[in-house]
This record gives sequence, structure tokens and C-alpha cells, in this order.
Amino acid sequence: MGVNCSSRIEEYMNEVCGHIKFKEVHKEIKLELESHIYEIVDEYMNNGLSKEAAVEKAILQMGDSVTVGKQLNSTHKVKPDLGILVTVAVLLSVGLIALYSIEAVVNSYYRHASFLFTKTVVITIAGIAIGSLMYFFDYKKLKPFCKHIYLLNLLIITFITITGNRVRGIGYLTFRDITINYIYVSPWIFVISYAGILKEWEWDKFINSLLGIALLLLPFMIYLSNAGAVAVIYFTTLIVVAVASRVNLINIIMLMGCPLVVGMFFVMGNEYRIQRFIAMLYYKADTLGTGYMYVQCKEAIKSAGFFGKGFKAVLQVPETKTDFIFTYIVYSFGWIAGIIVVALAVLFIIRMVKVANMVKDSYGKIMIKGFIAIFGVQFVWNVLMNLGLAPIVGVGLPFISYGGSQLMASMAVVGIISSIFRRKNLAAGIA
Amino acid sequence: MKVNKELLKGSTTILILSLLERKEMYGYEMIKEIEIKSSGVFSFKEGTLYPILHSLESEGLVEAFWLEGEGTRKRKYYRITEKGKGQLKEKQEEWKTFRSAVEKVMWEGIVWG
Repeated sequence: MGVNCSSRIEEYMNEVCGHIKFKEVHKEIKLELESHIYEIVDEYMNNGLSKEAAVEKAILQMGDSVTVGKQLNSTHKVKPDLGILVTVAVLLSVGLIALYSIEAVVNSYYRHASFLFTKTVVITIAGIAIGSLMYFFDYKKLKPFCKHIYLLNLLIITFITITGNRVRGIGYLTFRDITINYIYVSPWIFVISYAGILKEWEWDKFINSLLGIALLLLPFMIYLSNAGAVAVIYFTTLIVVAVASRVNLINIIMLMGCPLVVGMFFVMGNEYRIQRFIAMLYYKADTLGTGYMYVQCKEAIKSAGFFGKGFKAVLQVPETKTDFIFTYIVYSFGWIAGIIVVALAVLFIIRMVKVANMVKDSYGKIMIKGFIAIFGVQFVWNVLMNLGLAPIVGVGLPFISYGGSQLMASMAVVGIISSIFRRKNLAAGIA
Repeated sequence: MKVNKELLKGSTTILILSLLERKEMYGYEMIKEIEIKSSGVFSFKEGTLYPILHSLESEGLVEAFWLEGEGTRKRKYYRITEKGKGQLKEKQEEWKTFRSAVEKVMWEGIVWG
């Protein structure tokens, strides 16, 4: 008898869920509606009805399974966040237009053909594919593997640092013709791992807390020996993720203190780095040496005017396709274009903060906050650096600067953020 | 007496929000409250409560959490948010204007008709 009744309820639930396309909500809806049905059944049974009759009446009272299922389906129809996707699409287009212009200039002045634009189109398409995969993939499945992800990521960056080919100090991962700028991609991977680890780490125990801090600072040391910029990005992100995970204050202060001391020694111990910093402050004094880039960028931006020099403008500044693409965009398309790019970046960040606040699951929420930190530092530093207000380091403008690994990583991350957004109404821990 | 379905549809949001303004509740509890308070005027198919609750949740007007009920049964409770309270106030104002307008027309109808 009992079996019969529960199978009748099960049947009803399956009919309802059969109409709900987003399968990940089935479990919670079943649990909620079943609990409701049992409440009604209990009441009828208390009034003396047989269990079978009570179940029948309860199901009747719940209403037609098709109606309920269809209504639930329309409330749980999932879409990615349009605000994020639109800003990213516009940023990508701005980048493509700028690269097309640079490619045209290079090809008309030099003999060797440049494929900047074509390559970026291919990478963008690949990025859309990876991003879509991430969107459909349930990010929560990564959570049990957080520690493995940390270890693997640490191993790869250690390996690259020791054995990799170095281009201007940064280790690259190379497979035959393909070089992957993994060092720049790795902070994203650390965010995915820390969003799961930091919350559950037992910070109260003294030894654990020391071990935790050591494990978090290890990548920082490795980054320092590669590229200072990545070390700064990593450090900022680490603090943001630690605060979001509610790691206690003492540990956060320790986390902030150690890198600052190490970083100070690092900068002070290296004359070249001190020079670069001084060059930024007194760029006018030394226009041929380290101050060269600052003067070139300032001149280019100043002379651009509101509407710029137009498509295919020639700008004699190195690295216009990567780190100084912002200067190129302003130079060719004017101050207005610069303002638009900055506005888009601000909109993108604001929209992500809003999404982070809408998400219930703490793993997803912390992960988005970490991603915001990385994007934020990249945007702010790159723009300030182009305006001559920050030291010149290898930091590109997300979605715009030329660079396959970075672009693919950024687009994959947008996919992950959309995946978290799409599952934002799912409560965590429904057994 | 049964009330027209369309009329019911527009008012369920305001009904649910005003219930939740007083305390946190789970679905079955809400149905019972509505039935008792409205002396049975508002009785609808209970399953259709959930699409409404879930859309209120995704709009951020209410938030949900699971609690262990009596015995071993888990219950999903809903709680009104600050945004929900704001929305409720707006809807209440709307309702007042609507009601007074309807009453005015009805009165005039009676006087002149």
C-alpha cells in the first residue's frame, strides 16, 4: 500500500518535471512539491481518510501536472546574462577593428604579411566555442577537485619557470609550433581552486593557518621570478578571494604582509625595476631611455583629438597590438573611442558585481569575485599605463589586446560566469 | 463564491508578499493562511503557487532556504527581501487607487443609474 502511494506521487512529480527543460532544478522542485503533497496527505489522514484516498485528493488539489509543469518551465527558463555578453561582444569588436587597422598598416608599409586580424578572428571563434562549453558545464562539478586543480596548476607554472622558453622574462609553454602563455592564464585557474579551498580550510588551527599562507604565497614567489605584473594580479585576486571566503582578519593581514615585504626586497634588489618606477615619475627628464614609451603614448593620445586620425593611422609606438592597443585606439579613433572603451570596461565590471550578488551558491559567488579582481586589475592597470600613470608591465587590455591564450582564457571565464549566473537560483547542498 | 481567474492572477503576488511580510513561511502554510484569511474565496490549484514563488525568487523579491521541519521532513521556507518590501508598498498603493476608482464608478453608477 505504501509503495503504491509513493509511486503515485512519484508519477505525478515525473509528469510535472517532464515539462521542465532545465534538468538541474528537478531535484529541488521534486523535494518541494513532494513535501507539499505529504502535508496535505497528513491532514486528510488525520481527518480519518485512508492513505490512498488522501494521496488521490492531494494530487487533485495540486492541479493538472501539465499546467504546473509548463508554468514552472517558463519561470526556470535559463538565459545567460545579456549585459555581460553584450559588453564583451562590443569590446571584442573594438579589438578586432583596431587589429584590422594595425594589420592593414603593417601590410602596406612592410613586405612581410601580417595575419593579426585573421588569427584573432579564428581565436575569437574558438573562444566562443570554449565559452559555450563552459556555459553548459555545471561549474559545481569542479568543487571536489579544487585541491587537485591547485596542485596541477602549481606544478605547471613551476615546470614552465624552470624549463620553459623565456620571452622577455616570462616563461612560455611550447608544443611544437604552438606557444601558450600559461603564466598569464594560471591566475584564473587559481581562482577556480581557491573559491573552493579557502572557505573550507581550517584557519583556526595555528599550523594549518601557517601551511595555508605558505601554500598561497608559493605561486606568488613563482610569479615574481616570471613577471611582476602577474604577481600583482595574483596578489590582488588572492586577497579578494580570501575576504570573500571570510578568512579571518589575522590570516588576511599575514597574507598581505608577507608579499609586501618580499615584493619590496624584490623591487629594491633589482635596479632595472627601480629605474622603471622612477622613469614613470620623471618621464620628461629622460625621453630617450626608459621614459620613451611614456612620452610616445602621451604625445599620441594628446594629438588624437576627439575623433582621432582615422582608420589605418600609423603610430610609431612598439607593442601597439598588445599592451598599447589602447593608445592606438585613442590615436586612430579619438578620445571618444577611449572613453567608450573605459565605459564598456566599467559597465562590464559593474554587471559582474551585480551578478555575483545575485548568486546564492557561495562557491560560485566567490569564484566570480575572484574573476572580477583579475579583470579589474587588468583593465585599470592597462589603461593607467597607457595614460602614463602606472609602471609599464606586460598587462593587456582584456578582450581587446592581441594574444591567443589570454583571449581564450577571458572568453572561457565569461562562459563560467554565465554558467554560474544560469544556475543562480539553485540552492546548494540539496541532498 | 468563486472569483474570476484573471482577477486572482494579478493579486496573488501582492497576497504572497503581504503574507511573507509578517513572517517566513513554506508553501503549504501560505495556502492554508490564504484560504483561512479569505474565508475560502481564494482557493486555487496548490501546485500553481510554486511557479509564482519561484519567479518572485528569481526577481529577488523573496529568498528561500531549507529547514528541517517536524519529524524528518524538510521544508522550503520563503522570506521577503528589502526589494520585495518596496515592491509590496508600490503594489499596495496601486491597489488602493484601483479600488477607490472602482468604488467611485460603482457609486456613481448607482446614483445616476
